[in-house]
Amino acid sequence: MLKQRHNVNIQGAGDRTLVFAHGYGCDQNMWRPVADGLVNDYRTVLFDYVGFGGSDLSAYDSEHYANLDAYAQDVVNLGRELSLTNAVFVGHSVSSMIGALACTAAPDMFSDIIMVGPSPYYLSDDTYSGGFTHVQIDEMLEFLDANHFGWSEAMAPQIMGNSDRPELGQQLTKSFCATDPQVAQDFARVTFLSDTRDILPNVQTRSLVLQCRDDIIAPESVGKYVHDKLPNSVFRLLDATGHCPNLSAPDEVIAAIRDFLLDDLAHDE
Amino acid sequence: MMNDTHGDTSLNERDADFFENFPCGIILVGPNDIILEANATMAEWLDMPRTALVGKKFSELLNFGGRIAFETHVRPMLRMEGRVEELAFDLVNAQGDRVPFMANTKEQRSPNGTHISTQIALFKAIDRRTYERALLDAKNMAKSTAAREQEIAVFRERFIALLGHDLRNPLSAILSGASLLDRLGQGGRDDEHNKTLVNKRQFVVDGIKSSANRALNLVDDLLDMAKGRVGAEMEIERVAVASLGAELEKLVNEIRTASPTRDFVSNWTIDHPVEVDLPRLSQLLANLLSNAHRHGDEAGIVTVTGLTTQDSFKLYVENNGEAIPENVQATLFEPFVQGQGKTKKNGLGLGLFIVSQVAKAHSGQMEIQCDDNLIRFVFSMPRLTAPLE
Repeated sequence: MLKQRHNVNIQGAGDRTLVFAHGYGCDQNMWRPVADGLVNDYRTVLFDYVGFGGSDLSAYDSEHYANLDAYAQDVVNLGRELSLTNAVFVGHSVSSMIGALACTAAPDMFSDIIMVGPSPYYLSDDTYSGGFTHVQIDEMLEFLDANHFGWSEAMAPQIMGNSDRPELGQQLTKSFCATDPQVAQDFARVTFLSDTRDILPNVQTRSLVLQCRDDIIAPESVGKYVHDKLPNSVFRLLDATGHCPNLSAPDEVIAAIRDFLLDDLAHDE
Repeated sequence: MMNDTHGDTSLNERDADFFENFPCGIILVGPNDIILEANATMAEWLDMPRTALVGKKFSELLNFGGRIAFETHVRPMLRMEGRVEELAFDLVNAQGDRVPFMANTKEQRSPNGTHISTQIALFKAIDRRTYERALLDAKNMAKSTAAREQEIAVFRERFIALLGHDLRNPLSAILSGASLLDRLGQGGRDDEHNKTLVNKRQFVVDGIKSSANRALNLVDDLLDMAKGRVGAEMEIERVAVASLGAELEKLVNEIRTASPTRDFVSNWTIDHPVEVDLPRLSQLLANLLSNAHRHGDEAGIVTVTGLTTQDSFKLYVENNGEAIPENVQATLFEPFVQGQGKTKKNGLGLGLFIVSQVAKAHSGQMEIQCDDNLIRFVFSMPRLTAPLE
């Protein structure tokens, strides 16, 4: 049931399962180039958070999804339905922190977590610089208000939930970034205003922090901070620039994931 | 052939003019975000020479919020879908001002899919975007108004249902009292019997009065509701009251008369002028006193204290009673919450809600303190509407 709700796509048949979680912005297709490169050796699970991509939009509730814990709970529930143990969680952007929360909530579900462009807090305080100000977050919300990226009112849940006419839903899916403006606003707030710095020391899961160069969303200093606070982590600086190496440099990301997971094997043996 | 005016200019010259002066801005961005080309129209719209534009990072033309949105939405879409159309965003011109644009963008790729450059065609859209923004504002406004109306409607519906329900009790009591009086008749067989009859009649009349008073209180609540004083933000008018202590003492005296079995002790130490809406503040105090009277230990006294400090005015209402559990405290000021346990139901559960609304309207706050079999409701507010110069 959750498989449908989260539009789960499972490929490959390796011994280990990699769960790819999309970040703030679009949907699971962000992971497609990386996952495609790993299907020969791993079982890959792609999914959309409720409210995004091909998820069940009618299951979205603003109040429920007002914090990252609700998203982490969804990951845990989905993992249980898929009977995951010792799986690998691969999170992009805000999903790194959702994964960290899921790992602390269900420690046996994931043995490894890979964080791509993580940031536990985007704002700043006396001892920490997340890189953002409230004004900048407002500017971004303004941008999103003016751009719906192919979203139209016709895609509202009552139509998408029309299971008698599945072709309707497909027909209306114009863009993988098309998101209900309210959902986009809610998720932006949850993403950019959440502070999960406190949970990092509690994540005992073996972790890899993948950091891009020139990433304005998650600067290098923040990636290093995450690495410092995680008790069991490896830091790797990619050559890729920007915030979405999973799209701009999938090969480099694939190689980094492989190295990390093979290294794991080497330690076990 | 006769109308062919193209003969004089070469194809290249025409292309150059197309590119430079066509009425749309053109920017070509490399995969590393560096602007490779920009036409004269674009340079003019941004009020900077073309040479300043070429070589600059495209994201530097965006405000920071726009950069985040580009990074999280536009770039991924370009990579995945090859093009993004009808984008609305602002670019920052030479003076640092925001210029609104509409744009179509396309990724130019090599045959193996590598990103060669991003083509951006831009139209200045000041009026269009202003219009759209106004529409959006109007839509958001309508949405929040509707949500608020809905909230009030739900509140009123509950209010009316409860009121209807609660009015039945005192009215039935009045009716049955009236029929009892009817049956008791006018006179008796002898003096002794008459005396008993007078006593009985007095008892019924007292009951009718008390029920009528309860009904009256409920109707007062209804009137407050109709005047929009409950459920919506309370509107008040704060004025300096000369002898606030004496005014409030009058109210306490009324309550003493209405509840002769209860001891009310009052202390007033109001040394500075206080700006309040007196009728509203009286309502707050009356509700707190009635609350203390109804829920406090029957033998205990109710103490009310009013005092001023340099900046604030405070009212304390204390009664004896068991501590209120914290989870109950949290809901006490919400509408329609009734006291629990042995106390008899009286009113709509709006008393403390109105207290909190009056407090809020005075920029003040309510606090509950429980210790040693003592329950204390504390109201504090800034003494004056504007701080002293």
